[in-house]
Amino acid sequence: MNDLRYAFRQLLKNPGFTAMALLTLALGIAGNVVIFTIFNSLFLRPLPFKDGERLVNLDEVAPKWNLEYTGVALEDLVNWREQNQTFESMGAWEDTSFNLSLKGEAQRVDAGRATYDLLDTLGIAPVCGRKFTVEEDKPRKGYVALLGYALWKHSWAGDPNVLGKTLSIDNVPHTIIGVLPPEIGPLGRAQVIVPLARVPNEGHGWYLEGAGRLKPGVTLERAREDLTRIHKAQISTRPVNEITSPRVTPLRERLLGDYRPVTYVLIAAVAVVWLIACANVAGLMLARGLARGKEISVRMALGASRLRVVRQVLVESLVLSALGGLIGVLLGQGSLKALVRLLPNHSPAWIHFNMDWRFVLFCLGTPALTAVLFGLTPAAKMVSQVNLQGALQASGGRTSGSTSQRRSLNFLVTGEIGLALVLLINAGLLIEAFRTLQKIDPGFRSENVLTYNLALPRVKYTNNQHVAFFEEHLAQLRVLPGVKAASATTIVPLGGHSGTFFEIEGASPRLKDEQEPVVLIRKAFPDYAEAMGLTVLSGRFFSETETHQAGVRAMVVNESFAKRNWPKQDPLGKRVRYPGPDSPWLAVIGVVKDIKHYGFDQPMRPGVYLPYHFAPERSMTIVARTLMEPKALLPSIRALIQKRDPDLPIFEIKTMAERVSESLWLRKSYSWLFGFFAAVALTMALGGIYGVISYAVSQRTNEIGIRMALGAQRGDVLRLILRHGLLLAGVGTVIGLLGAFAMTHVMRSLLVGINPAEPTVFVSIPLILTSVVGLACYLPARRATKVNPMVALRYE
Amino acid sequence: MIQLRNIEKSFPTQTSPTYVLRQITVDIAEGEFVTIMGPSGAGKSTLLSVIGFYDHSWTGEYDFNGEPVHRLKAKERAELNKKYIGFVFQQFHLLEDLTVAENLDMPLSYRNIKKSERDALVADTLDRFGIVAKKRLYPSQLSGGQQQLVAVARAIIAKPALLLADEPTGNLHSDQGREIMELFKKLNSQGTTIIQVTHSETNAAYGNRIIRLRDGWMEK
Repeated sequence: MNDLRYAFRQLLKNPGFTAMALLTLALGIAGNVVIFTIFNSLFLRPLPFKDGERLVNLDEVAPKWNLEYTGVALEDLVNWREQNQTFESMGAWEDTSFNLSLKGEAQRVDAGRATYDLLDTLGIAPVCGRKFTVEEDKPRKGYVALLGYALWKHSWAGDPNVLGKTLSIDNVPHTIIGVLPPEIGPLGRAQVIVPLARVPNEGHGWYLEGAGRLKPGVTLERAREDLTRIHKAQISTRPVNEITSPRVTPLRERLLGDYRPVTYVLIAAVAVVWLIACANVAGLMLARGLARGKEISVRMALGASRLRVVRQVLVESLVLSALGGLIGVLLGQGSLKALVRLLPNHSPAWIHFNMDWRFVLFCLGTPALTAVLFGLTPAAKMVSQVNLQGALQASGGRTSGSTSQRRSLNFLVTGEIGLALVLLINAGLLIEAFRTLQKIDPGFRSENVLTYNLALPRVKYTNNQHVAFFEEHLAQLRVLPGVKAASATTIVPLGGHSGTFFEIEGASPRLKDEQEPVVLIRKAFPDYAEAMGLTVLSGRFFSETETHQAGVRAMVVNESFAKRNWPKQDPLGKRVRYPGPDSPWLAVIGVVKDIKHYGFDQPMRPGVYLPYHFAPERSMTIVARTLMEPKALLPSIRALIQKRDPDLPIFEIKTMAERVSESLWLRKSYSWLFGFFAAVALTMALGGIYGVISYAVSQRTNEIGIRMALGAQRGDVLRLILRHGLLLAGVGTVIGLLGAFAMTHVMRSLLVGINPAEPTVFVSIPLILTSVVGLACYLPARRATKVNPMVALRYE
Repeated sequence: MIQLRNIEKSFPTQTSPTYVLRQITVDIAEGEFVTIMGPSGAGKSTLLSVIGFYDHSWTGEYDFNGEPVHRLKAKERAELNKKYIGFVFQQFHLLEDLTVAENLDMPLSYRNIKKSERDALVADTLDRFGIVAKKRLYPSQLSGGQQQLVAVARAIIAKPALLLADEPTGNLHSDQGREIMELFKKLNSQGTTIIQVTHSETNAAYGNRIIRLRDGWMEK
């Protein structure tokens, strides 16, 4: 108890030391708690499904079309399902959204169409009711629905009597047969699931997400071979299987794989912060232990046993670690909550970012061990070697601390500076890459553009009523005050992909293995180029001519499409059609500049725009370029829709600026998070070097006094101390530069658009670091110049 | 060489200032070997600090070789110190991390002397003090007497006109102390002015004049 009391008194007596040690421990622990919890939640915790590690994602790959994931064709899934020998079960679903009419209010909800066996495959059982039957998964039989848990709780207050009630989905009545549990894994945020109910050979293409449950003991490789065997055996009846191949990926990898490199990089960052924190604590404890040599000698001279002295130091180290750990865990928990709040829609719903107490114990344990080791080592050394008289004399001694002890401190600080520089340079590169990306011309003008989706139900908008609806809505929109241009498209930039293939008139037949990249297809109304701010390179975009003149067949292509198909030729007037002798030819009337459709850091594919009226769609994204704050238009737009169709929900309401910001969200977050950790590392390293130089100055008071007595001027003393600090900074900088350069190789995939050895970053950051280190050394150095030699020597 | 007139030094305390030196008036000529004696707390070391330009907070008049020290700025006093003063401490105060040769070189390194000249001076001094064989040793590898020998060598290597010594034999046994005092005597005979602080009447006998202090006052 006495030891504990004395430990607290010691900590309070040295507030500078205590604050520095606690801050170091707290920041190190907090950073690790946050990032490791994220990593643990994403990649280490078992998937929240029965035998989750046997679940795989099923997809298809088509290198010839330049597609890593094509989606699964239902026909392929049926073949795989019937003939495989390696899967317990498999199923598939299509992500979609539905218009629901609930309590007289139109709502658009996330939804899915699933095969009858999907829930069994995923190990999901309804909380009440039942799953789909095989019979219900057939065309025109599937008017049943499973409710999402949140929708059930919100709209039916969790009433189990909801079973058998009718739900209007896109104006079609469906019978509610069950309620899904809160965790539905890869089905994401779906609030309604209906049967897929399609015929395999209807030719919908590759649009499904597949899931399979491996039989126990089956490896991925075996499963892949099994499906490939089945797939390729179909080539005679399904020639396209020559191009496509099955793709079997662990479910976790498919769902979260994109986060893996980012998480690894952040883990590396916090690990470095962690090392710096441990080095800092080690340095602080070592310096403190050394400074207490005299106290320990006096204690022993007065009868304290060796064990007693060691126990005292141990208790102090543990108290410090426990306090730092507690603050760190609390800080980490708070930061984690804040961070998770910032990413509501960017991570799967079934991921829960809860702290793992085993890791918290690790976080608490490591600095405690560091503190104890480095606090105890000098004390233990002192008590084991103690020659009391000698120790007392030495502490009143002739010269400053021992060389090996100072070397240890120098080594720790050099390491800290090196590690901090590794983080700073890489943070600089990441932020530079992010800024470079932001400056890229995306090919469209995102400012003052409002976008929203309207999906017109098939049962309500029959014949060409949907065409008339969109024409009327756009006409009304264009005359609203504040609207500069209005149009509609099937897919806005950064809004997803829909691909197809075209036949080019006069083109020689493709070689067997020749690449045939899939073409991004969008349908658009006139004025789209103006509304979205596209750059028309030659020709023109669609006008009312393409809308109203029957028989006009026109298309607008992008630069990539033009370059690929008509290199060094004028694309205008060239003709293109869907494959097949009966398809009409479409003439190219314009070429637009490529846009960053798939993300600012992603390459563009060949792409085309078709006039909306060529093949009208029921679901469109409306695009309005405004002369005012875009969302200020919403009340007027809602009024227009309400008047025309009160049951029609407006959804996905976003400005283009928001879409751009969302597309950069992940990159922005990890760049700045990395930057934050680098700043923490820098602060710690500066604290470390300040502490070590201060310690060195205090230990060298005698030496400084001697030097001044022998003729050294204040400038000489200042130079002496600064040289010490800058030498450490110099060695640390060299180590850091090598480390940073090595780390850029690991981070290459994240450093898009910049040279990973960007000279401005590699030169400016070490210079800034050295200057700041110089400043951290200057304060104690300045104190050293105030030493009065006679006072210093007499004190000794 | 040194003319002190009414030198006083005090520390402010809660009630009234505490004087360490009171009305010290003394002349010391070039070539003298002066001993300052007195009980502990008499102000001996403080007077030595004032004479050596290490202490700036005093009043009175101090002329050194005709320079009015009391009118000089701290930096100018430091220059005088560098040019004229050598200092020997009771506790030797050699730098543990430096070899004997490096310890000798240290005062020269603060005096704008070329490296080649410094090396020559160090070699001469090692030779003169008979410690060439020890030039690569560290202070901890020397006996107390040898350490003080090195300390004296270091104090005179820059050829100071005035050598100040504060209890130079205080940490040595009698034989070693005698050797050091003989060395002082020799240096004095070669023209170096020496002022030493000591409690030892034997050591004082090596000098040609004694200044006695008590409670900051000079005894008449």
